[in-house]
Amino acid sequence: MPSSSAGLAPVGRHPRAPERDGRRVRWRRIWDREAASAYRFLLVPLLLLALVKLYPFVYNFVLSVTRDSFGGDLGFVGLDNYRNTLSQQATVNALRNSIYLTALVVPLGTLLALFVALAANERTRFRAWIRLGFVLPMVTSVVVGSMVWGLILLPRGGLLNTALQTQGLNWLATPNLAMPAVAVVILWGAIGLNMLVFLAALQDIDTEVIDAAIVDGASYAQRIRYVVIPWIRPVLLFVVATLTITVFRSFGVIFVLTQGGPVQRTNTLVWEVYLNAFSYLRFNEAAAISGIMVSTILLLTTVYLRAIRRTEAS
Amino acid sequence: MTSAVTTRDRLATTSRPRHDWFQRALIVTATTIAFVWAVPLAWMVLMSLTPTDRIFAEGVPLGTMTTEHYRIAWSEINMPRLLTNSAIVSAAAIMGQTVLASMAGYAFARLRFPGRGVIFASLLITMMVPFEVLIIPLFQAVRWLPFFGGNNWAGSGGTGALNTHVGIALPNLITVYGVFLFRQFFLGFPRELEEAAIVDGASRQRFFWRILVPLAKAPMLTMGLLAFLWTWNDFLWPLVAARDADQFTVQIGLASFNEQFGTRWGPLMAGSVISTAPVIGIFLLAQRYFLNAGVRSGVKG
Amino acid sequence: MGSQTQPLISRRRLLQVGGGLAAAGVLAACGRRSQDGEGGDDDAAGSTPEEPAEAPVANDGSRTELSLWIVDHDGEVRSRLEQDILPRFEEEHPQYRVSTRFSGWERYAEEVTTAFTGGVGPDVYQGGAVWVGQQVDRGWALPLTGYVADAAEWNWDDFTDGAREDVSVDGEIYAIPYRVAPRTLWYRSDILAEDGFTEPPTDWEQLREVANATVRRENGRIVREGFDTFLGGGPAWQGEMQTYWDFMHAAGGRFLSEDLSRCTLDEDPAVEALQFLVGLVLEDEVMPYPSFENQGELSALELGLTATGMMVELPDLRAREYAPDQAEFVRAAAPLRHAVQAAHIYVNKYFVSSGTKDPDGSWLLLQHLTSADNLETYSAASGYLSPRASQTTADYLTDNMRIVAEAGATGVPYPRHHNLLELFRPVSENLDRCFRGQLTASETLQRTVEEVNALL
Repeated sequence: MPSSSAGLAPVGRHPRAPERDGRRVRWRRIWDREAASAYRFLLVPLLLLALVKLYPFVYNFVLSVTRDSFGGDLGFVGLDNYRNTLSQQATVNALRNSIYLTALVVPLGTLLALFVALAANERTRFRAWIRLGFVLPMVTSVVVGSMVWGLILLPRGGLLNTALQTQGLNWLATPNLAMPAVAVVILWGAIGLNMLVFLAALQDIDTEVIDAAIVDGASYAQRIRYVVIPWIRPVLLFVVATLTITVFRSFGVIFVLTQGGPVQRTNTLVWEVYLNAFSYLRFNEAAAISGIMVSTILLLTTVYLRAIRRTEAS
Repeated sequence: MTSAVTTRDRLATTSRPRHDWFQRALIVTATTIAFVWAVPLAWMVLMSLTPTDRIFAEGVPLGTMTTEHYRIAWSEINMPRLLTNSAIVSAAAIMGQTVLASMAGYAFARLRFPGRGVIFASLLITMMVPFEVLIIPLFQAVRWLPFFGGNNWAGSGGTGALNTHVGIALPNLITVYGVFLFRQFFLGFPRELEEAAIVDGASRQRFFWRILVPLAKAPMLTMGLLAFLWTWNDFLWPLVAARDADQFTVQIGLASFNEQFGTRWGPLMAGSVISTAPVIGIFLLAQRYFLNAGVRSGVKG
Repeated sequence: MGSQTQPLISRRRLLQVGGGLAAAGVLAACGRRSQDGEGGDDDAAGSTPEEPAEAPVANDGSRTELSLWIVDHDGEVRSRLEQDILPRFEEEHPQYRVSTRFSGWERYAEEVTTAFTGGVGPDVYQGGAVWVGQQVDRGWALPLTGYVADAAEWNWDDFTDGAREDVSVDGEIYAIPYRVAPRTLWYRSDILAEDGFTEPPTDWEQLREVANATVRRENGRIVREGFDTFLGGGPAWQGEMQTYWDFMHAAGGRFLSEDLSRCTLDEDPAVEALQFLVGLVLEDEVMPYPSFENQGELSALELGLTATGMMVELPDLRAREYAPDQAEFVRAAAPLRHAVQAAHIYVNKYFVSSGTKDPDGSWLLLQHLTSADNLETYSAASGYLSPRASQTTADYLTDNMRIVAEAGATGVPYPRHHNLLELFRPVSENLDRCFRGQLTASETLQRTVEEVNALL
């Protein structure tokens, strides 16, 4: 551990922290050097990110506040596109479906991922199998995985109906069953990554704390409840947030299996965006709907954050 | 702290390996679910070996097997070429997402510069937009990239980076998820480490490459794997960016088994097995690492 | 980590930068895509087309490369195209070379849209049944009227009325059809014979009679339908909507007004058509809703699970391929007559892109693809029907196909609105509610008209 007395103020303090003159000047130099270093580190990555993420995002945003115009004027229309699309039954329906799908997948998915991570964290002979079982779906492409599920969900001859003895039941064409079926397929692919995230977090927990709890006589379940969960709260938030984003963005499954049907029951926001952009060629409306999507996700994330903070306080 | 990769992997105890009933129930249930989870993949392999007329039959078609589908999948869509293209693009993605994302992650974690918060927040928000939405402007950007594919300095005249391995790899060279992951990881290191290095006169680059990166094996491995996975399975972007068939990746090739009279399930499943095999292989290899050291994404606090 | 004097560029840095450059170089070299790009300078979404670019000279000799984008060509058809039709074009016109891209409907929309908005559209490209209005509205399709007028020998008049109507907007021709799919009545001769019917129904009343006689129930559940609407593909292509369309045409109804500004489904003929269908489905209960789904490749008709149904030419193809023992009983009949005899016709066509690098060359290719000879080749290989009237009685057509081809003569195409798919959605949604008994026929159409008009 170096001493911090070599004429350098602790790097952790605010650059504008009032100091004696000599130190402040050295501070500025350090800060400038930091900024210069940042430039070297960030040049290529940020350039790429600007090209492949920021530019399309901004372009999309501009599309959402303009109208289809022929060269010349930009066609700025403010929030008209948003107003128009929100007044359409199709968009409202899509929003509702997206939220429904999120409600189906996120709580169950988070719990399941945590559950499985806990089990995989134990030193048992099953541990490799558990990890393998959930990581494998992760490595199949969404399209291929969905097509296999399409075979499994076949009304006649599909594995699911054979197993449940419900031959003839067309999951994807029954209005009330289609979305749950889609939820299962999304869940199937999404657990893997989140299990790994939880696993990493679990391995961070200090064994001393665990041992202390054991010495105090806590059972496994109690240890989970009183030690583990509080410890990994930020990770919980991370998983819930990323899972929400994944569900909202989930396009491949719907594309392969239901195409938004039956009767718009699996028509989510992202599907609505796709239809507007590629079927109807209404790019401005598509952009507006994606804007609605982003706003909804942001809203949900804020809600999660508040919920986490509140449980922290208590 | 530098012992980031520890073998602490038991939540239970340090001294008492006996599990109570709840733990046992947990483990058994999880194992069962894991096997159920693997069923669709097993089904995929089974279907790839099942003769076409038995694919839609009721029940589980064990019995007659055929490798005909594999022959078709390999030769009809020029699988070797497809696999090569996918491999090249994925390799580029791995390089990009480990090197570039770690650099950016470090900068966001440790370096102060004007606009740091705003830029990072904006990047996070771009994660929320589905790719289908971004594809049109991205396509245009790639098409009008200066100096590529016949373009002049202003970006016109040719087709830019379209239909090249560079262009197909481009959106996968760096992701916000990766930057986020590395940032979280580097935030987990104490500042004293850097201070020590700087006091000793090392530049930040030196510190980064000589000290931090060797310590970041875990997230590097993770991001490498994820980068490979995401790029290998990417469908939509290569579909529109690759204009000639000799630039197609594996996923595009598989899609051609969806034909007008319905899907050719057998070859499609066989092709999927061929396409998934490398990914599974690499993950199994990396499994050993995960098993011992865990994935320290450092996602805490 | 000593504090010796550092070199200007550390060795590690050099390696990194060098490595990066090398990698980029390797990648760029691997993927070098030299010579001519495709398309000219179509501009971004929505604007008017610009001047076509100069026809660039390719690397190999002086041939211009024309890009052709095709959907749904598989197996035999594709090899005919690649080994017969296209090489012949290149022989006859040695200054051109054709490069083809094959795709599938589910991904074609993305490919085309990104290509055109990115300004790199193909030269000649296939379009589906609802494409004309949209392509014209976007300015992506090149008007072909001039070329057609000069091509007397190729003979535009040989194309059926419905096909020609489908590709024309305001008197200009924007595409050339190469395949038509008329819808008509199909029936099972064996099932009809069971109840003493030797001839298929020719009008609505007869259909009702036949359907009611041939439906079979067990324990209150329908085990064999008297009539089937055939579940279609995705939401906009529901079988119910397609079948309703046929009845609407037969009643003399229209979807949109002549100027495409108003939905006209609330007019009497359209309402009458839906009332008839509702009578069949909900009152007589000749089929459950939704009707029987396909099993594997076969629909209810080939499986013998329905007596009649409205369909394009697929039952004949499917039966011969997958259920040959049933094929002789699967029969086509003329479209049902009510106020008029009319059926719906789907037209697949080729466009020339407005930004093509070589309009003349692209037209030559298009003309070649749709010449009488090549259309016949294509039709014979695929089993689909040619849009040329002279080929509706060709030798290679089966009896069934001949009947279907005749139906094409009375075929009515979709109106040339630029956003048909979005307009179809309220139609199919409300029809679904209607067939579930939630709305009466007139309520259904009332709501539909309101919702469609809101979109117009």
